Amino acid sequence: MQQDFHYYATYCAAYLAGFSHDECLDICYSAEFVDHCSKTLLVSIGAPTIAATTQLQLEMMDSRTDILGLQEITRIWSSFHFLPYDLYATKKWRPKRYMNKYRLICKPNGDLLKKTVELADGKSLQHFGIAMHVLADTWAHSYFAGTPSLVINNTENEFYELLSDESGNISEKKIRFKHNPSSSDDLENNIFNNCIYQGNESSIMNLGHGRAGHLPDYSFIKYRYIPAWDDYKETIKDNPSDYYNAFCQMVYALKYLKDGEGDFELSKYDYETVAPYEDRIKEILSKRQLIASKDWKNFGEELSGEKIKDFKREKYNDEYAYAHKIHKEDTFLGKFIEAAISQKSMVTNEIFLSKNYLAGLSKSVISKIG
Amino acid sequence: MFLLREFWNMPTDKKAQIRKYNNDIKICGIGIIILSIWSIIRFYLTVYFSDMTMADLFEFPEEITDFEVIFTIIFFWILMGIILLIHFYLGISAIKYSTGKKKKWGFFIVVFIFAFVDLLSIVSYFIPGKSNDIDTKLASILLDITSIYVGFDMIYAAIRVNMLRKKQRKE
Repeated sequence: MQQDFHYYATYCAAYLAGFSHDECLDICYSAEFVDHCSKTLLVSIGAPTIAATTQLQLEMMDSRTDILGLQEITRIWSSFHFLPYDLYATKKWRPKRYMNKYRLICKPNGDLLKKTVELADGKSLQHFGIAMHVLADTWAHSYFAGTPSLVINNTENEFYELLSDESGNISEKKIRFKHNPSSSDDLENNIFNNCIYQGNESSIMNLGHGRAGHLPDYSFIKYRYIPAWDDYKETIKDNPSDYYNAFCQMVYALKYLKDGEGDFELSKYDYETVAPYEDRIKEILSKRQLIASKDWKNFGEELSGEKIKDFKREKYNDEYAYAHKIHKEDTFLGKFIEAAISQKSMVTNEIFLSKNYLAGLSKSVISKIG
Repeated sequence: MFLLREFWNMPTDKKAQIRKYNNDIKICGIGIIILSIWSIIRFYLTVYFSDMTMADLFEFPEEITDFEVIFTIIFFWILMGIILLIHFYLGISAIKYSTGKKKKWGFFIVVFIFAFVDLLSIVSYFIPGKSNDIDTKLASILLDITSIYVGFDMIYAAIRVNMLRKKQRKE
């Protein structure tokens, strides 16, 4: 997902869940910051690089693709952007090496999502924000895995956008891809950017949804394609519906985190709270545009009656960088870093416990051995 | 992807099977092209790097004239070129057939003939001859087996695609 959903839509969801304006800003900032907290940024403020929640393109270009490099990549992307759905999935006639990657496929409402939200329970707003980022991405990034893998993340070249007219008839329009990341996607002519085919199994180009370009991150698009992992079967991705479910699930999850009562249930969505705004939200989601930040921002400001400041990546950098060592963990980024390490450790630990070594060892596992 | 009306009315698993077999045809088509190029390269390397000359390979009799030698060699290379082009045609036809751009299936007969002849030629490896290099023989056998497999796999995949489509039409 993009900033429009991670920042502004998360703000709206937090407000509907009952948080105050300032709390909403902290939550949505943290949700969006997950897409910016790279090693480069952490080094620049003197923060531990283990808390990295994303990797810049330049970092990925320099990253190793030996086992240690792949583990580092998998730790980051599986923990924050492609949360695995079922670490114990089975598939006939597949070796362990394939299954390790197959089990990292992301889908919504997996057990790890429950653990992610419950891990944030009783913690800081920053932790709530991270959990919401992870939750939202399970919807957008479904059917891709957070590890470089040709056999999982590759797709056929056949992508078709499914368009429905006012009378409900569905027509198809072929999506064409180009490989020019410096130019933006052409929505009018259905020409999108994507990663070129790379025959190397562990190439960084085969990480996540690169082969589908930005299609998973556009809320308006419904399309069908053939992923490599599904044995030539077609997958239909209905982003407007998925994004709406993601929003409603965020409202439910944030209410759970605010009240702290009971258990977080999977496949539960707070449609009731969102119902008065359903048409407005669906209008934003289905509007054909590269980014819907303006619309979400307007909606959020109407909801709260307050001004939503635009996201600024460096907003809390100085606070952390100049804080005394013993006070760093009390700063905004200090809390974010603690939450990020906690989330990464939990997911890595769960992957390791499923006898999958693609994410390496987690701190909690090492400390048990020690 | 060749979008027949009947294809879109098929159950999901049948569509997946057709895609799989079409993909097999396409990959086998690419395989035929690559293996034919490799055959030419292999022959060239055999002549260029071994102690044998073209004359040794063709086992010309001593009384042969220079003109006949040159003519034979040129004719041989022209023939190799024609066979290469035929393989290219077969491979490209297979790729087009798999994507629905070609409907005629006559080229599968040629594929079958080539694969069958390759199968028969395997016997020649076990006939004692002048060359007793086991490693060279083994490499050649492996490649020929691959070539045979590619040919028959393509034909099998084409038959399966047609069977699935016929079954769908009956239903």
